Amino acid sequence: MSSGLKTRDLTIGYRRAGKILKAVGRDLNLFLKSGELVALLGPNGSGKSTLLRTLARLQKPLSGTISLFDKPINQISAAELSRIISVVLTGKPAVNFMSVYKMVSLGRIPYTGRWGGLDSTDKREIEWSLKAMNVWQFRNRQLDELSDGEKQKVMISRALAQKPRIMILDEPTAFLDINHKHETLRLLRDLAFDQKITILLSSHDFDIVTRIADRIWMMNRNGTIQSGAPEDLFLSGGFESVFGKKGFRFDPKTGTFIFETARCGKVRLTGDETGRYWTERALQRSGFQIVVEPDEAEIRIEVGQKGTLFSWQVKTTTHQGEFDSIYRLLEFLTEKLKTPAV
Amino acid sequence: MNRNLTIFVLLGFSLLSLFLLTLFLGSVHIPLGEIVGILIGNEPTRSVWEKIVLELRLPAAFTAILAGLALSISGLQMQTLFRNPLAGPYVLGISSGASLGVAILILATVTLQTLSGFNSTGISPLAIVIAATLGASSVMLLITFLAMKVKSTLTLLIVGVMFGYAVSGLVGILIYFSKPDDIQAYLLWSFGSFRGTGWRELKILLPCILIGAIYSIARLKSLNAMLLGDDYATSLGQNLKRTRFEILVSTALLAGSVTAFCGPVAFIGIAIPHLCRALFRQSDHSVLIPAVMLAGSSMALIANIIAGMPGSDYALPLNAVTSIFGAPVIIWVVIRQHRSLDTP
Repeated sequence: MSSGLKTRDLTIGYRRAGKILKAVGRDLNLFLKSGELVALLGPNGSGKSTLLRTLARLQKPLSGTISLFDKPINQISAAELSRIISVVLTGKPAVNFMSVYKMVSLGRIPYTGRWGGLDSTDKREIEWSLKAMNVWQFRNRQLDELSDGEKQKVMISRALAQKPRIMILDEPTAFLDINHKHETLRLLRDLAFDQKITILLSSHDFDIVTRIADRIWMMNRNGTIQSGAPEDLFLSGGFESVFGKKGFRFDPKTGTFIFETARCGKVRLTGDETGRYWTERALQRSGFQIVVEPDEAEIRIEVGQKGTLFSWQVKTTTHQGEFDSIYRLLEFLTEKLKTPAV
Repeated sequence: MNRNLTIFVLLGFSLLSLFLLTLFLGSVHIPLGEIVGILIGNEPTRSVWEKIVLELRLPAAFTAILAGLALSISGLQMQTLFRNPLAGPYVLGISSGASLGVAILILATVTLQTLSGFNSTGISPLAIVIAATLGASSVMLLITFLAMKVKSTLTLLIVGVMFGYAVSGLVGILIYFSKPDDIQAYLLWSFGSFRGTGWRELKILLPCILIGAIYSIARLKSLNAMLLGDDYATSLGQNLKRTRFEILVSTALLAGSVTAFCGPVAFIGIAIPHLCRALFRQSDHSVLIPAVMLAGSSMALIANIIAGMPGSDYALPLNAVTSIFGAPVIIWVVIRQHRSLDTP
């Protein structure tokens, strides 16, 4: 596998009047392989956008080099670069009167002649790009008639019409509802997989992104980047070091954050596995500790299952009861057990 | 596609009718048949009619058409360049630059006359044209120089607008210290008119506008890319600095030459692009450029007809007419934009 994009000792940030104003990333040695989907994660203000803009040559690095297919990026002409890298930027484009089709056809600008007329190849590429992002049915609609999620798919479609080998997207899932988040990321995943387009995107949607990305670039607050498969970062504690804060901790076993609240009691859970998983989650949220040893437990809960119906049997030293939902179970545990009888 | 074609045909038809109407209307009544006859080279019933049509009304009609299309194209490309709906051909201080040129000319002449004790009859229109051109192009030179230094288009826009104010202030001072009689020529010029341009002046105006328009049409693809903003345009392989420079030069030619000959004609440049975008529901420049050319020419002809107040012996200042018609369009645009853009 060839390395499409490589950086060497790249330092990024802003300068004013020739002086370095702020460096947000230092001595970065990164690479992108073709057909891989890399997600750039990091807290706000850590410099994710700056890195993406620098890699797309929309901004000059403070020092260091970037090479594309073994060629320094500075030696690539603007026209050539526009056929290798395409971008989807944050914010909605403020175009008032434009059809979806026209917007996507703008992606063909690097290929069309002086007057921008579309030939059969251009039209085929536009149609393919629209269909690849599931927006072909909207092609004759005006952009301002679309929802945010549909608009975002059109903007990705436009970037796709540029026939890039690398696509760089700055927070493509921000402002989208959960369905569009999933759909957008799944479509990008498919593009990387089927079309061998390298995809680099920044995101705050930790849960989804760590499930679909081949690799994570984890931007730390000190301007360095940890790179690895999401699972590597889970195991190495890379996520916790950046995202971990007082009040919640990162569970490397499930890859989720757990909110730590005052301990209410020790619970031992038995019964159906799926039922146990969700019950455990609910109990942890409410401040109970899950224990394995039967002797340690103050509360015993047995999760039973009949078809699609679950039930919870609770036994403590003073109370017992049976419940048909986790909500009722928690209500009982938090309300009843707090009484002085305990 | 069919809808677009229909609108184009209608626009073309309205332009042709307005053109004929311009030739027909005036203080002297000439039958329409005679006018068409004169145009195709027939001998008219009265020879003075031929003179009125060919020497007065025809050049005025051509001037209005040229000025209308030139101002509209430059307004369109300024709005795209600055991605600002209120940008127009004069936003970068072109009209104030031209005004400054004219004002300086008048003051210098008056001072010279006072000093030498020699009193001439006035300042020739050609001198005013030259002064306006010099003023407009020096302001544009400054702005284009700035455009190469300043990265942000918004900064450039603000600088341009402020520059315009400063220059207007200078003009105000010059006028304040002039005697009313001396600034008569300046005032007439600043009212705006398509009627002061004869065939001789058209020979200069036409090539300026042709070159400016061709420049703009040749940049059509870049203009489309710029609709998406600077970053997207760059990622589409566009050389922003060069494009920006070329658009500014084209605007200087188009708006500068029109201002020199016709005075600072307000609002056509801002209003027409908005009307056309709404009419065609498009932002694509390959549609909009021909559209604003047709609509701009028509609008200029209408303004010219109204300013002439057909059937009366009076005439209105052209600038007053274009402002009264243009301002409501801008108001409509602003209200509309607030509805569709500011509420995401």
